[in-house]
Amino acid sequence: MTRFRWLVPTLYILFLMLPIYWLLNMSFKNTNEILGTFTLWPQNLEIYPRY
Amino acid sequence: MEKTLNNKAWFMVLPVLLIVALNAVVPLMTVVNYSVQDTFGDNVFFFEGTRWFSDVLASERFHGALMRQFAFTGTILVIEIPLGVAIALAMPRSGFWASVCLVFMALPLLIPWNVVGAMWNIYALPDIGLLGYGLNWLGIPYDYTQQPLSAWFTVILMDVWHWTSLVVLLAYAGLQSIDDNYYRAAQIDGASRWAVFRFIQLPKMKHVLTIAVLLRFMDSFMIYTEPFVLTGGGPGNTTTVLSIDLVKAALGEFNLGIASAMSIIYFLMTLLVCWLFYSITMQGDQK
Repeated sequence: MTRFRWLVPTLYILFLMLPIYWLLNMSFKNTNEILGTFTLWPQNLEIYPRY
Repeated sequence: MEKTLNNKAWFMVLPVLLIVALNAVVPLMTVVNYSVQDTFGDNVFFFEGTRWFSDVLASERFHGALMRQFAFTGTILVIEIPLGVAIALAMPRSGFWASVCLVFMALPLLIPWNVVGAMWNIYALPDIGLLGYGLNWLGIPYDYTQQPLSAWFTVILMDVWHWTSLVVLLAYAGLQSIDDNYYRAAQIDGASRWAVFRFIQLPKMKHVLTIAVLLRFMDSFMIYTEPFVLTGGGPGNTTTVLSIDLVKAALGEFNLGIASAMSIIYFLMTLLVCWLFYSITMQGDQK
């Protein structure tokens, strides 16, 4: 039981990081990629300011 | 060494007391003022007595928002407190990994509330968000913009994401303060893991957990920004908690009398529950 104790904080940290990753991921996508397809990471890294 | 008692020291805190009294009491008195008056504009007010209070207390809309508020606060407390304690118990007690855990767990606490709402809004969208898309991909019908149950699930999950770390950090601090001799004594007596938790760790964490419950109760009872950004109180008014309803009444409908009476009832309820909880929890210590 105690051998797998590290799993609890690890899974919790994963749960904490996923929304932050998704926000970061979205911030590098262009609008077409955000709205057109579902991608786990940016296909064309968008680094030009569009705001 | 004997401590000397000098009552003149109270004068040193008098300026702070005055400033706090002014910036807390004056706005509160404005609300009290509005709650017993009505106006037709032009800054002309007339006395209404307790009409707004009886209107609010008899209103089904207020009852609905209050019930949703209690349901939300109750649910997040039931999830966050045990989960926070369980994670704190499983964390390494010292060393490099303890620091790594603490840094990662503190991250959500540093993110502004409106950013948390916006982040979860994107994350949970059924067509482009990882959570929404993932759940639908698994065959679970999920759309927080249309389904009340999905909206509730998302609002609660968002709060668990944002604030469980606070409970973890408080519980972890409580655990760290326990002297090793207690564990050694338990080992000599052959105590089980459960007995160590029940008779050593839990009593030693009592004060920090009281603070954790109070902080989480007050914060969740006054929650506004996150659900407002995420769902705007919808679909319909299924996630309209007290604060969202209050802002709708005050700023959306410009119903100042009703909104002020609601504010006072809301404030008194928070105060009462905190006082009750604190008194009951601390009763054991005074005996």
